[in-house]
Amino acid sequence: MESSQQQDQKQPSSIGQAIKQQVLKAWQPVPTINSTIILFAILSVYFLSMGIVLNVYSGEINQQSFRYDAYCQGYPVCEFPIALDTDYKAPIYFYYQLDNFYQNQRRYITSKSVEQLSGQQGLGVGDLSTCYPVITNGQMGKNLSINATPLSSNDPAIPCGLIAQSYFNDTFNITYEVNDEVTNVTVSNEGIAWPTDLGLYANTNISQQWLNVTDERFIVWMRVAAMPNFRKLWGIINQDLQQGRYTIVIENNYNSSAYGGKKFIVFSTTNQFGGKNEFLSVAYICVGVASSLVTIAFCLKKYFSRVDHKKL
Amino acid sequence: MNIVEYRKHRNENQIRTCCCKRRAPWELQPDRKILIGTADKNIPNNRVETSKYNMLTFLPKNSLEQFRKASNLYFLLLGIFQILPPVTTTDGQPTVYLPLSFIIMVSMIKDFFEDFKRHRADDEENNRTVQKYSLRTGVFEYEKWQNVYVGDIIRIANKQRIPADIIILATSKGGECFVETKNLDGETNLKPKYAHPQLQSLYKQLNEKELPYNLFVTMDFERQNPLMYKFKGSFNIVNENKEQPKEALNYENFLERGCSLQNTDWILAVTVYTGHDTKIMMNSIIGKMKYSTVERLMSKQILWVFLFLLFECIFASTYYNVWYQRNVNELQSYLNIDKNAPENNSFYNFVLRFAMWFLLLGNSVPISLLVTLETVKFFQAQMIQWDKNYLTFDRAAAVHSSNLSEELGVIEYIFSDKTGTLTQNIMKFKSLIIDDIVYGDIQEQAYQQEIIDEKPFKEKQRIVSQNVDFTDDELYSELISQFINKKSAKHFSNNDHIFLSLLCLSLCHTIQTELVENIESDIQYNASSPDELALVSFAAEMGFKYIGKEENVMKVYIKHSKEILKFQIQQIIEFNSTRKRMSIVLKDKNGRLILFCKGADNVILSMLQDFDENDTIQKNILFEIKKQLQEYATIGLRTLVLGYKELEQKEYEKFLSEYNRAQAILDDDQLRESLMNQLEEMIENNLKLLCATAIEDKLQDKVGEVIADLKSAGINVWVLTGDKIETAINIGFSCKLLTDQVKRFIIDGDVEGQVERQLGKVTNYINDHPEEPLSLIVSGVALVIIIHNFKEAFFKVALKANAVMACRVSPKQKQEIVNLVRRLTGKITLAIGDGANDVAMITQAHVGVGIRGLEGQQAAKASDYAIGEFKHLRRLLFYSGHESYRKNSNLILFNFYKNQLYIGAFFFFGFSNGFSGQNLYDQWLSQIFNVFFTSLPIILYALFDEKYPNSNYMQLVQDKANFLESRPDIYREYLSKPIFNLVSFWRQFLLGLLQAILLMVISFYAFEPISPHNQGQNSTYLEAGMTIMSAVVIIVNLKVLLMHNTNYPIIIYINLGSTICFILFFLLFSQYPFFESFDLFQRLFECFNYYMAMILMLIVTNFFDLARLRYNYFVEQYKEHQSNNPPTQLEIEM
Repeated sequence: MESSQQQDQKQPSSIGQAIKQQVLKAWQPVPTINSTIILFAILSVYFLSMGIVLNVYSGEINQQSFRYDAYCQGYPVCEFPIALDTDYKAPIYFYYQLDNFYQNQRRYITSKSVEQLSGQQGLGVGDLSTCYPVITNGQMGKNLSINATPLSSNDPAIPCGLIAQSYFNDTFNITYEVNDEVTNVTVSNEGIAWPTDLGLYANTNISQQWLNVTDERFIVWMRVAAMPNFRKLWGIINQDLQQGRYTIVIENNYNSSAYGGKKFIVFSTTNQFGGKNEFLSVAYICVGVASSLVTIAFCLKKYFSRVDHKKL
Repeated sequence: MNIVEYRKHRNENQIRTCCCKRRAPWELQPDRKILIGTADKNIPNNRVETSKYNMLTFLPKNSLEQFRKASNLYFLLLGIFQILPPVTTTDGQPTVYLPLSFIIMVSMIKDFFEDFKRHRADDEENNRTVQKYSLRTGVFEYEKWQNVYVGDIIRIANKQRIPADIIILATSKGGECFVETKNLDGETNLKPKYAHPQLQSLYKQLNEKELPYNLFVTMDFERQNPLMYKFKGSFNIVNENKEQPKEALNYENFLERGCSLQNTDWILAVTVYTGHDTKIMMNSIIGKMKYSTVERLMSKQILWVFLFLLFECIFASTYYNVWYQRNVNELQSYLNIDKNAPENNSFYNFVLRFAMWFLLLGNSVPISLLVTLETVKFFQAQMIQWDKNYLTFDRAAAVHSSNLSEELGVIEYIFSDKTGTLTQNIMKFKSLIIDDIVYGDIQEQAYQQEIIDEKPFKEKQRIVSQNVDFTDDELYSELISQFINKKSAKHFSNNDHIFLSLLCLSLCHTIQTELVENIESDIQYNASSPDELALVSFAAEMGFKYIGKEENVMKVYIKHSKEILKFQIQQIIEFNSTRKRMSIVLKDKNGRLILFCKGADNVILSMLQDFDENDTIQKNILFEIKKQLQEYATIGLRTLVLGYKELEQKEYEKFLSEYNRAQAILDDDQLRESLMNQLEEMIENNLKLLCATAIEDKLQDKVGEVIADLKSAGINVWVLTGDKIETAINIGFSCKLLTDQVKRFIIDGDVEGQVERQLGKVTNYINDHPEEPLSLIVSGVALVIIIHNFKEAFFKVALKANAVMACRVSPKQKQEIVNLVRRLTGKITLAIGDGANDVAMITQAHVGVGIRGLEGQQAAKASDYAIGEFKHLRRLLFYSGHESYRKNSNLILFNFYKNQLYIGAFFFFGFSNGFSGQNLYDQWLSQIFNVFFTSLPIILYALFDEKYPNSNYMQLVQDKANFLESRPDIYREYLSKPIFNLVSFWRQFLLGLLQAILLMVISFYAFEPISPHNQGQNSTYLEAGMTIMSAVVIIVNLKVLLMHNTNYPIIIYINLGSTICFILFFLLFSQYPFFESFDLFQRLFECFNYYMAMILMLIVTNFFDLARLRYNYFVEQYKEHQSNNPPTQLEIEM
């Protein structure tokens, strides 16, 4: 301890001096093999247990998807029978899923007008260049507005752009039969979009619009997905669904064969961590195993070093 | 003679350029004609400006320079790309300009301060004052240097510096004056300069009264030029329009700016060249920017990274094209690409995607790296300047090119000057051998410390002064007793060897002094050779005080008998390197002639009078002296032998007449030389042995120890000196560069054959004993031959040698050697020196270190690092350099890793969308990612991290403030295993790229395709992107913490602060729909999967890195244990 005493005398008076002389009080951890083993052991335990926990939680979630594009091929309206394996507790999230649809294309993602969607008035064709290549009604291929007023093909389409143009427009009506009586399941589209997103959308003039941009399904569509296979929330079912058979009446408007894709519907519940995600639990278990291997490696290292030491 | 012609003469030529007039280059200037005393205000005055900018020009000039840097230009162009509508990935916003402007601003501020420093230095120089003769008032008035014009008469007092190039008009010493030219050529001896006699007589009274109004002196001389040691001109005194013949002026009358006046009360002079026209300024070496090897390697790698980037772009655009063509029908349905649209054209598509990807990946070349590195190096330089451990006489080290801090960590060759660098250039008289008696202890030097601490058991009288360090009792008491016996000097005979030796010491020299009134007072000796100074000082200490010379009569004051002895100088035969001796012939007041001679021991001993074979006493004495001299030589003392000879009047006269005749042979140099040599040898022969002396060439503090450390760190130390071989060898021994155990080879041949033979001998030796160490000593003359003919052979040998000393080398040769070693080995070199003669080598080496002598700043100014003493080199290399190298290398590696990790992620994102060029991050956040979120931690790491913290080790090892200073082997480690090289660079680069894949996969699959939110809402591509971005920020900042060897609480806070800064920015951006990341913050931070993914990403990157590092660390530690070394980690319980 003699050294530290001397050191105190030399201790510089101010922080500034300490910085200048590079003698700031420092903490220097000395890595030891034991601390490393402990560290990685803790990591292994954490990851393995988290992996298991995630797996259990994920297992609690019910999820089923049904491909319907092939079944409904060629029918504008089709009745698609499905069977739910288990009971579903409300709220049940009802998704549609598209495969092989590259929403993440750059050309696609950029093709919209934030100003127009926010309800800004008086935007001419010239102001909507970001919507390229779908700016006018003509390009959009629409000639009637929502309230059936004719649209001039040279006027700007509201909404314009590729994303809007490819808006998913199949509709679903879930029914089931109890004692030969067909009952509809209400699928609410309220609250399917992010509340903050709602504020970004407003209609300009219904009679000039071919689509209601405040429709939550549209807003959900406008949030483009990162991967070519994606799901979008179509509605929330606020009632429990028993295990059993259901018929889904589908207005089969959306042409998926044009882009060589598939269409699905998905029923899913969530827990407090969101939807079913097996990836995370698998990844956690993998990392946990890797971490255990590291721990074992260090243990072996320690063991062999010690053996060698004795020889010395 | 037309005075008007001189008045009207245009001394200054200007050339007209497109918009303004400029000074013509000196070759186009006219020769000058001036009137002495009349300032020519057309010629620029004596103001010197080394600064680059002024207030007005700073902004335009500096901005232009900023964009001359390739990296800045690169990002400028990138920004222009960002504005172009078809390719923009950022909605037409040049987001890259945000960090770029920040970086340029930092760089500008740095330039501003550097220029400010230069301004200050210039101002200091320009505002020195000198007395200038005012025609109006007729007296000398103080004036600033900068206001001196060509033609002005100035007065310079003793010890003052010369403000401009001048011609001496008059001096206080009757036309003679002495100057010191250390600033110009590094020589410390005084040089005489003269006023032209006519000018002297004309101007000497100017101090008191004005010149007659109708008297003019005109001067003609050459235009300004950079030729040193040369002046050509003439003057003409015109008195009442009567013309006198022209008189020539030459270099003898000329004084350069930068010299200083010595031993002369005053001189009057006329200014001939001012300011930038002065010789010193025209010869000033404009320091080339030096870049460190690490930085050069980095620049080269940046180029490769750039090529890699182009490759990625080509890959991406090709991929897109192929993918597009394959899926064209599917994509048509929702991408609406017209069959005839340009997007359908492969070539157009290729170009477009290429540009887009170029924009997206452009940041692979880390925008902040250069500025980070610059900032770090700037502060590292400051740290060195602040460091109290570098203090010498309260002056800290100075860093002139902060660029090189890491270069100091990988030095493999050190070229050192000797005088003033290894040695203090102070000779201490240590020992005197008269007959066979040795006076003066030499060993005591080692015990100095103890003598001060505790009473030594045998206490001897010790005389210590500037040039004497003599520990002895006997000589002085012997002397006193002899004087008590004999009363007066005249009773001594030539057989009293003590008396005669001291007389010889006080007389046989060429020292200049000023005669002083009071003989008891101290006398300032001015010697061209420090050895002589030591001898004369010693004689003075012993009571034989040389008090100067008056009209060829040398006077010695004998303290013991209080009398002054006078000797008339008859002849001085000066020292030169072939003769290795000097003689002086004196006549005492009785008219007897005596010749004193001193010289190298082997020379003098061979010239001794033959003595009888049976004269055992003489034989014994000679044997003893030889033995003693040998002993002195091995410890590096400089030895001289003194002899005397009584001359007969006739003998001397005969010599004199023949000598004069020989001297008068003008047409045949060789004949004259050989004749004179013969005569000199004749008269100097048959000497009687008087005494031998030993002088210690005082080494600088701890030179031996430091050199030993440097060598064990694997650094080759070469000594390049202008000195003689003998002195060099002496020093080699005293600083332990040479030892008796190591075979020594000397190459000093004058002709080709001889050199070849000597070289062949060494080569053979090496071939026979490849493992044996050897040392090599080479002379300058031989070196010229070697460089011409045997370059390869020599360097093959020299690079093998343990120690190489080159003697008698010129500054140019020093430079050449450095250059050759640098070129042939490709290793990093460092040159260290103190004198102007070292400037060339200092600027040539990778790193130039200047020792700041007491006087003479030339070397220090030209150097990259100026330190006070040689011993600081150890700290500079082992601690500052080593640590800078480690930290800066890691910083560079880290920066590339970081950017690859960051950018790689969205390159791999490309696979999910056919490389359509979609970005993944919020563009604004993305641009400030580098500068604001991830720069500060690594900067602080590079500034404050320490392998072995100073605070812990400060007092552990005496005089070594950091533990690293005592571990040359750690320094050596990086020489064999550099941290920063091709392999490590690309390993880090690819590591970043690979980890980017992991990040990509984890963040996408954590969010897709299901909903990660408990309300079932969907996520979008930006959520995955921002997750990656926040992961990268946290990962890289955490990585910096893991890189730290030492942790300071404040730095941990700042590191966390950087991450928090990102979070705050993200939060802020999330509030505004303008940004792409609108509302993402809230969504992510309440999403459980986000945290899960984050932890996962941290572990798969950093912790597996950590495992690898730890494993390597343990393996190394284990190895050290096995090799029984003490552990690297000096563990102390605090």
